[in-house]
Amino acid sequence: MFSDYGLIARLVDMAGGIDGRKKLQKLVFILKHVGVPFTEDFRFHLYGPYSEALAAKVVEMVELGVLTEAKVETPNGFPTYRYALKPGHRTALLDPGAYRALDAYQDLIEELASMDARRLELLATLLYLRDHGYGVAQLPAKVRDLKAEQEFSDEEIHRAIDLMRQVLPAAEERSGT
Amino acid sequence: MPEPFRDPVHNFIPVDVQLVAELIQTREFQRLRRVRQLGTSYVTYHGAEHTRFTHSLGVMHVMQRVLQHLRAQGTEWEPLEHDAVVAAALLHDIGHGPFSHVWEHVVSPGKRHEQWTREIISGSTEVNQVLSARDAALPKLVLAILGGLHPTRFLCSLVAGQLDADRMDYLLRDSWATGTGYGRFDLERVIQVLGVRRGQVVVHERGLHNVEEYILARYFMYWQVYLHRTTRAQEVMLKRLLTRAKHLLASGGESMPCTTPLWSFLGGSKQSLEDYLAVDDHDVWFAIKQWATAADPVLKDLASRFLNRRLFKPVFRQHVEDARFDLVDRLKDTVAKQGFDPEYYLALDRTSDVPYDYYLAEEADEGDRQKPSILIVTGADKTLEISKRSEVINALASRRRTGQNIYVPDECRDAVKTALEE
Repeated sequence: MFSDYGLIARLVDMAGGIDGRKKLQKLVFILKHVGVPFTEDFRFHLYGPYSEALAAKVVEMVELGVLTEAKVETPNGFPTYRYALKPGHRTALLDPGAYRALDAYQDLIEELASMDARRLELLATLLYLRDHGYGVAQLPAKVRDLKAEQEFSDEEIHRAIDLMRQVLPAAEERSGT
Repeated sequence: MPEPFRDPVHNFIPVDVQLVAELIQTREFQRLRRVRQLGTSYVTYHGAEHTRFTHSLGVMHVMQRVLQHLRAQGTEWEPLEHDAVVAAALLHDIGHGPFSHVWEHVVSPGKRHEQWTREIISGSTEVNQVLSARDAALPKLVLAILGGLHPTRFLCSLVAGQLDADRMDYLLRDSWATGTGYGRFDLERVIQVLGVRRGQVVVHERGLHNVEEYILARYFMYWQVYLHRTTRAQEVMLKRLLTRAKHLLASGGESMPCTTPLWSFLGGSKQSLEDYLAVDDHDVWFAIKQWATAADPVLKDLASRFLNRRLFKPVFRQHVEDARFDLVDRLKDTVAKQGFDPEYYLALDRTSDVPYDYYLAEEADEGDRQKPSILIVTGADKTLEISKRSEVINALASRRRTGQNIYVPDECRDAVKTALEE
């Protein structure tokens, strides 16, 4: 009944807490891509893939006492929200099966969680574009088109493409060449 | 060119573009006449029988009106972009299946209507033929706009954004069809106050109150129509019914009369675009009527309840402070003791389960900005998010409201209430 809450809670727990709503959104999107059974739908907005349902579920989970939400400041001095599993919460109650679905992704989650929101947004955008039929060769130009205001450098884009290929081969296979 | 469509919301919808006329005549678009717009809302509002066909025409019409206005304001775009955004408006829902939200979660999980839309537009379909005949690049351009991936961003946001043609039509149409007044707003005035600044759709400040009315319409329709407990009860029952049907097919233990296209989805076999295009509301209704005399008691019971409006009942709208997940096991026991399988006769429904939203003003910190806002342009040509200018919207849009209901058959209601109070 609560398998979707279970997945989100487990992700937050495995990441050791997540700073920023955007970061949480991108983590879920990317993990969904590699096969984690998140059910939330994503749409591409100005700031990359975004899920209204995921945003609503996070609020529900905070109100239900599964997650804690604390307003903190980023290193740049901007306010953001830190999400963590509420101490003592028996997350496994939510759905044991869903809870275990993330076991195989510990290393990937740690790697993704260590990235800042900017890198995650770029990676998520690349995956979204691949999903929509853009070839790898088209990605740099398309990212610059869509994300002009972010001013991603060539190096950033190519590093993200390399990461996409190395870390997320399953996603690449599904998208084709 | 065909006669204009007589429409209950927009009065007349003219079809004076050959591309649009041909797209309407495709079999993929005509199929939308057989898919209801509001799924299970008819159990609450008996007039909610309108289809995705009528809504899609309406969205196309609103889009044309908006584009006409923006062009008169001096905003420019390419002719092919114009065709693409009008086609995108017309085709934005073409991938929806019967009872779409339930279908996507139960019958065809992992494949959403957006993916089917992409396949219809890019595949071997009449829609693709019509678009390609206009211009070989047109299908891809339509998909880019629908996917939010076209660089002329305001065109994308007019299809799917906070002030888009889709919402403008469905608020008015759903309000008309349900007989409620919640979704009404002054469409003509809202169109008149739209503009484009730095590539984004904006609203001139003189139209602030009209956009407030639109945002309020979204809010009230969400809570009063789309999240109505009776409608949600029928939807959770349908989910359970289709889940049971899938289970029985998978276990091979029950003869399952239904149409061949629906069978291919319930049975989990490889599903082609042709299979999907062959399925509409009638396939689901036919199957449910057959299942109402099935040998399997759960299938038979759920089908009968669905057909005859014997709805699951909400036990209570749970206050979030009361929620205890360890109650789930107790509720399952309670329902089981009443003689019902909790797998099919106990359901939790939440605001996050509803495929609609209302306007929320995000905090303006740069680190966490997620999606575009509704922007107001002041007399001094400064743009700001609407809640910074409107006290009404600031009060409404600053915090996301949540809620949840537990649904059980009426026969279990008292026992479940008692279990929750213990």
